[in-house]
Amino acid sequence: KTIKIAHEEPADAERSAAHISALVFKDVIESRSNGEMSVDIHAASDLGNQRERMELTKNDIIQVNIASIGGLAGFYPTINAVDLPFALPNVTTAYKVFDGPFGQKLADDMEAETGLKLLAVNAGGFYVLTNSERPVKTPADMEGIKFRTMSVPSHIAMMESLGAAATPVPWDELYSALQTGVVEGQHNPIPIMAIGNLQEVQKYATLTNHLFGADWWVTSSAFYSGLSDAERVIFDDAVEAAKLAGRGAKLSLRATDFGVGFLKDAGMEVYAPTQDELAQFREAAVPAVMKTIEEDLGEKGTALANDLLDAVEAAQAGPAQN
Amino acid sequence: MSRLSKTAAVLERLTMVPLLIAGAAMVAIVVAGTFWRYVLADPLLWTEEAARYLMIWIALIGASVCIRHGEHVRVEMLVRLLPRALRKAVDVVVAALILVFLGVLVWIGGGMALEATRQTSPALGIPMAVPLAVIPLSGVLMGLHLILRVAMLATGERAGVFDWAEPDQDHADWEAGR
Amino acid sequence: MTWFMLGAFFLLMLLGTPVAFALAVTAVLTMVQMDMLSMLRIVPMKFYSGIDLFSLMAMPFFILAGDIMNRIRITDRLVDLANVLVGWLRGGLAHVNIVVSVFFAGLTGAAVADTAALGKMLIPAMERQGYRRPFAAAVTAASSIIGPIIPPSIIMVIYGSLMNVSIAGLFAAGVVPGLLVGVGLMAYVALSARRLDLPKVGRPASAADVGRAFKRALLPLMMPVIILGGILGGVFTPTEAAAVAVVFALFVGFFVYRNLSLSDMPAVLTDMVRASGSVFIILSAAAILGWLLAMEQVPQAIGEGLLGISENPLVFLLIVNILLLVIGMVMDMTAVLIILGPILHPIAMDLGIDPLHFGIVMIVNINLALMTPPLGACLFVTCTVSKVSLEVLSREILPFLLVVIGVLGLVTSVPALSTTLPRLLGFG
Ligand code: NA
Ligand code: NA
Repeated sequence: KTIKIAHEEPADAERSAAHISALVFKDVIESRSNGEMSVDIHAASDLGNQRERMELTKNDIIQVNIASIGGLAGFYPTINAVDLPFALPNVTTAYKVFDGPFGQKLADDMEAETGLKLLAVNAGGFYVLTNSERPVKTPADMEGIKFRTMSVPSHIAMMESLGAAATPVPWDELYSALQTGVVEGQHNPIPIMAIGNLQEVQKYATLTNHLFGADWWVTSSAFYSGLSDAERVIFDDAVEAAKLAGRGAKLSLRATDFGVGFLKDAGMEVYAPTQDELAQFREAAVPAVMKTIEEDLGEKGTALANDLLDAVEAAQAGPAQN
Repeated sequence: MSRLSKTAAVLERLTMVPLLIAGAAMVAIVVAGTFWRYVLADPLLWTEEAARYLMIWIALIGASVCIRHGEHVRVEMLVRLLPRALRKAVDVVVAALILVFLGVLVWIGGGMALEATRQTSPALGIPMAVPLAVIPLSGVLMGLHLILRVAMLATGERAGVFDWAEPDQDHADWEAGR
Repeated sequence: MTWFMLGAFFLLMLLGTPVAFALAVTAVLTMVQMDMLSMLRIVPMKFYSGIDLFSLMAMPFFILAGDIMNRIRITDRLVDLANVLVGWLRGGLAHVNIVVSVFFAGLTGAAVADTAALGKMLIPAMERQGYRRPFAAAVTAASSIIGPIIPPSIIMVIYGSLMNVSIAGLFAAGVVPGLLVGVGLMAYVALSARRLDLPKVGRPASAADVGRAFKRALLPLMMPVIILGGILGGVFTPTEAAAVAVVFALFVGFFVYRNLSLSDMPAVLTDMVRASGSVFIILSAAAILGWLLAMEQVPQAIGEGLLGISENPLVFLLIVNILLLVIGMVMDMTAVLIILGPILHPIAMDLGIDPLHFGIVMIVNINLALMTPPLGACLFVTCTVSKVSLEVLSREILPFLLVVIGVLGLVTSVPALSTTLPRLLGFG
């Protein structure tokens, strides 16, 4: 039995957490099954863009897809409610939330609605806000700056609520758009910035950590239920091991290659907002985004967003927070 | 003009008029997007998406018109060496294979477009079925032009299914793959 | 399965199937042969997403702009300018032919339309001055390949979009190699002018004449300034620059030269629609087959095979050059780029070759294919325009071909020729 696992990062075992986790998945499955099961890793979107890979996963041509929220949203729009800015304060809380009852409830609902099974929320990282105009400490500093966002309504609403001019620019034109000043700012996780070399054309970074971009591992219910009991044990173990590896790799890459040091080495000025300043961002953005969630996703979306906020609170109240 | 070529001409006219309007609109939309963003500093959020959808429609529907004019790039060297009757037979077999592919576009692509009626496009907020409808529609139009071409081969009106309609200078340019 | 795929594709190509349909039909047949009918879903999906790239839009725009500029007769003005600059040399009109091609290259993105426009005008003029017609045709065909190497360039738009390489960077990288082709061709004409007994007509133009010719050509010459200056100065992206080029050409035609009318619009738009139709469908179909190749991990296998020969970047580039030269002899250049680019580009990146350098090597190479016998688009057009037979032209173009191959060798072995300018401007 061959399992095809697909992701969009480069096939680089040193600098891609998604690829590292896929390699661990492959290793566990192939070594535990004595060669009865094998894994083909398809990196760098070679089996298609986010939307296509989801479609292929649904049809069991790809067995495991490492998707983004944007990719999932095409098939399960409700997930957009999880993309609530400033909801998740740090990675440990984020992982606790997604590994706990909230994550399970989300997975169950998604499977019931779409036939897509959420296996794990693997490695994730926070977005930073960068621009080439001026240091941004509060939303007031963003006034009038043209920030590139994806054409996602909640991202546009967030940027506009912060006073910026949201401007959609395709990813493949982003570097030259930033360089030449077609747009002045953007937001992305640091490893993504590194892929596009955006640090070369941006001066100021603000560690707002406003959105959490994670690797969502999905399969189809059909494939999963077609596994024998023995196969499923190995498969589940491999997913768990890959999750540990991916999350660990992401954190260690943050400490080595793709952290604040990376931005500073590129000559950027990095600012970490205080709790007060973060509160100003949150107070401007959250109501605006909640409104788009209500408009686009209705009651179900609003309920999910509120569940997320509750789950975060519960997780932070628990032990071992940081 | 035979009935076959008249039919092809009418079909072309019906498709070209909207395509020309779409082409002009595509230029206007991108220019407007540039103007609003650069001059008015008030970026429009929908121009990129609208222009991109128009481009895809123009390209894929335009491809059907290229069949009518025999403008699709191909290697003719070897078929030219074949005896005339054999050449016709080869063209018909190839056309039949292409129709299978076009059938996939119409059948499966049509299904995909229908499924997408409930998804909306990110910027314009229109149903994704609108841009995706170009898949089955281009399949149908390409199929019709191809069938007309094969029929013209049968009546002896044309020597080949894929050769240029009017071998004049413009078409030499086209064939040259500009 | 890989062999089935290759066999089906080449058989279909040999049978004269249009490239796009050869690619698509091969993909469908392979899925049927593998008994993987569920995969057929990918066919319409990739057919659509293969061209769902905003940056590709620059292509129809540059076609449109080029068409309008041909229509408003800026050719005459550019020829006049070149004439006062180099027309008085021995072999003057041959030099003019090359210099006008360089001017034109800064205006338009394609080679073939320019070949036709310039050939119609210059080949008879050269013949009247005593050039042999095959020589005149060869100069025309050879210099026309400068067009897509100097920006703007349709082929660079396609390359950049497909390979995710900065289009603005490619534009900047093409300037020096494009000028080198022009200089190389002019050097050949100058060095062999006596041996070939090329005519020498007239004397150097007066400063006043040069000034007047410049003034007449000023608006067309502003176009590259607007396009490149606009892109590099941050006013617009390459796609927007292309749209602005259209507006500029329309403005000049309607309000300055006043030789364009609304009734010309359907014709130029029709050109754009049909050119998009025939190129984009190759992209769409190649995306389908490309997916199937990725599924079977064929590009990795080819990569390992090539890297098995040598891991020296120069050796790899040499292999690529030979491969493209051979394939370019029999296949359309855009199709070659679309099919082989996505396979070769990642290997070049693995070897640490600069993406802009590799892009320019590929682009110079596939442009060379426009003038390599037996199948070269610019050869065909020149034959049609000049009524010189393909055999005669193929022989006559050989020395020019060697010059361009020499430039290609230089561009291949000296990355700085392509990478310096983009680096100075801050691209990649
Ligand atoms: Na050019
Ligand atoms: Na020329």
